[in-house]
Amino acid sequence: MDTSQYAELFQAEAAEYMQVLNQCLLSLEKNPRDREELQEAFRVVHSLKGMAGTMGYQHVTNIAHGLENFMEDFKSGEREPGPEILDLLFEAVDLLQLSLENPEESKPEEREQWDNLLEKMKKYQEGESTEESSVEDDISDQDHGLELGVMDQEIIRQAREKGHSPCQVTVCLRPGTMMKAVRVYMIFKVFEEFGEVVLSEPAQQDLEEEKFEHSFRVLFVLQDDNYDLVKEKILQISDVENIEIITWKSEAESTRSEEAVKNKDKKEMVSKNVEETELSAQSEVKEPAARAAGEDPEKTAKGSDPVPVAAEQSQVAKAIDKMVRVETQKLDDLVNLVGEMVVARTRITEIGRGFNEDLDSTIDQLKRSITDLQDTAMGLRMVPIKQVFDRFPRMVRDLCRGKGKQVQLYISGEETELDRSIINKLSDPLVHLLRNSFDHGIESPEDRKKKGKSPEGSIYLQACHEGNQVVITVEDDGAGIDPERIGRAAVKKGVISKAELDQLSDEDKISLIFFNGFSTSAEVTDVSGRGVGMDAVRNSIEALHGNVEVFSEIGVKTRFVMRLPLTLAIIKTLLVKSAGQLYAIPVEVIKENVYLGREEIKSIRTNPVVNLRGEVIALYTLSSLLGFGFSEMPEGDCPLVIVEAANRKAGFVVDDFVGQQEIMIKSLGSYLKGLKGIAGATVLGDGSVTLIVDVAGLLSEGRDKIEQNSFSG
Amino acid sequence: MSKTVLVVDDTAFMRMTLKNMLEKNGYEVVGEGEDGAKGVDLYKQLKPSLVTMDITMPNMDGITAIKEILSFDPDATVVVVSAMGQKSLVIEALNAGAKDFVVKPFQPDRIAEALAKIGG
Repeated sequence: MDTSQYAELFQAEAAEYMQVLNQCLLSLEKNPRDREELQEAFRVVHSLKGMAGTMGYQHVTNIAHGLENFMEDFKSGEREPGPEILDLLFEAVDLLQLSLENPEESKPEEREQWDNLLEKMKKYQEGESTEESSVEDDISDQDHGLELGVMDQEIIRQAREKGHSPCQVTVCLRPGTMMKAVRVYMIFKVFEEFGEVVLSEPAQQDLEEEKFEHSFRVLFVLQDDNYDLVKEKILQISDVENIEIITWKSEAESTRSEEAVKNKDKKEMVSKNVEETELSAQSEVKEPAARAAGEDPEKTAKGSDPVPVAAEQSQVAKAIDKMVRVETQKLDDLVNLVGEMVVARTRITEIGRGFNEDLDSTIDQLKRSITDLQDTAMGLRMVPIKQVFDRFPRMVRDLCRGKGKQVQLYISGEETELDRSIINKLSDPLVHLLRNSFDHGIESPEDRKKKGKSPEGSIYLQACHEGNQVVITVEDDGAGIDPERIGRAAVKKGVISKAELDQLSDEDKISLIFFNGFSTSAEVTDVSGRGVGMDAVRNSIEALHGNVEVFSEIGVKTRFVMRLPLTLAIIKTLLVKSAGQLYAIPVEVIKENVYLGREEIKSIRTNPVVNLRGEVIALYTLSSLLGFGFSEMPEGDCPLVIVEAANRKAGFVVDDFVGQQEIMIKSLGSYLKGLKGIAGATVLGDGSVTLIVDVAGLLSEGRDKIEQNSFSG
Repeated sequence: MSKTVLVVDDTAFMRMTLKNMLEKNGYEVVGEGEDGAKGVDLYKQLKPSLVTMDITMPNMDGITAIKEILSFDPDATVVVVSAMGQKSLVIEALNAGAKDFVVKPFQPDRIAEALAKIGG
């Protein structure tokens, strides 16, 4: 079967399942008695196995199968999964995750890892279950005893007396049949319908445990001579290849005894005993009769009670069920189209106003509908931040295990919704911040005790809406950040000069951690230090039109606060005019707008600056900075936009402020892509096209370059 | 006329795979349910000649669904589609009245054969 067409769907669904699986294990770790979680985990692994098997992903299937077998032991709730078990489970889930990355072919080392883990699991199961299995052995030993054998023989004798005919039935299953035991069960059910199974070879228990190749035989007492019907019914069962019914007479003997020798253990089975009298005299009839079929479900279910199904309805599963999968491209297209409509709405409102009353009211109605449509379309792109947050408990848990720290992660506001394009890019910075808190914030348990804190550290991860923004906070109750230490390190690394440092407040000093090339961690750990420090976090947040701040109190806490727009598709901008051209500046980078008298503009080495409340800020005319044209300073008071991005402030001199507007970002298309200082374009209500200024990009280009931009003051 | 089939499985992936496979074998998939409860509803609406039923599903499991379907229509033909290792559940489903079972991962001809055997 060609499965490639399903691969994408498989991956999407598998990713959801992996998420659910990790959550289940984490809850189990907190509460090992939670059978619902265990069953949910079991269900998920099971579904994954089925899916992977169908795709032909052998390695994935193997792992899922092993994991499922391992969990089976705990599903009944008789035993709780202890910490060691959970470690094994987590390890297996990780390998499963790994195997999903490239499911078509597994690497040898992956298979080796899995084999090792499987070995560990087996050992654990054996170690734990020796007691159980020895008990089972005792039982089966008893079963081999004489008592039951005598009863079997009694049954046969009575059957003969009643005129029923004992017969020997050989059933052959198709090679490669799966779940043979259940096929056996189905076959036995047919037997029970028409008579009674006295004996089977191999024994019923072995049949249930699938300890047979393809065929098995039973001694069967048929109530009526309805051989054909039995045969037909059994042949109707899938995977039954062949059935042979031989009346229990001497003819059967010769053929049977040969075969029976192959089964060394059971060779004393009925083969010699042609006559019923002989049979009853034989004490070596070992196998117990297959008893009433009604008992079978209990027997087969040993150690794995049927799943109480109501318990499987976890909220997560429900949430998945209510989802419809849509390609993200389609959503983007929809939002884009709605954006066009919004523009058209504005234009039609302007054009149509005052022509006639009916038109006006229709336009009003259209406007309302389009606004609703816009909200709905934007809502489609919104996803709860839970998607990102969900992986963190697992991460913190693993970090705790690896680093010998005790940290509890508290998450709140995970239902907060954000545009999916933002969510996707939020994961890396958040991982970075959390690891930073874990590694540099939270002290070792001993240190914490010394300081009189609880040995267990806390990290709080919160999200909430604040107006048109989403605020995400990462806070730890660790050592805090020492501004002096940061300052010294910054000077040493040449991030700033000593003189500059002395002018900074403590708060500003701490903010130095966001500068490029800054990392205080003396040692590089696999947790957070790799030289790519907080500046990477700042850059990714600013790329999302957001900002990040840090607050810290030495010895008490450190808090990182990120502010992000709800969506990237629509942003709030200030429209300004420079050299006669309209530009849109995203408001989140704007610190303030001021009118500046000409006399306030000073120059340092021919570069114009302004001293704004004691702070010296470099000035540029926007259009020349963008390289779009030379601009004269306007006469009289000079409109100035003070922006801050990439930890740098600057003043943009513009011709005029035009107004604030929410705009829909359009991509510039491939040939204008990468244009420096321009983030995109938008179509305004009157149909005119405006460029959106990428302030962070402009300012981080490097001071020198910016300073080369001449300014005509 | 081709036989009508209702496919009940909680993973979209399995539903799609089964559907394509069944359609290749000349069956007409008239409905897809993602849990037991949906399956029962759809059965009542569509009265298909055949149902393929997963066992472990949220909302209502396959076994309960089989029971409900059979109490609605004692002649319903339900085939269990189950992954390996659910022996006791498959047996329970058979006891509940399922006509046969197929094990995932399945080979297309097996499904066709199983369906043909039970006259579906």
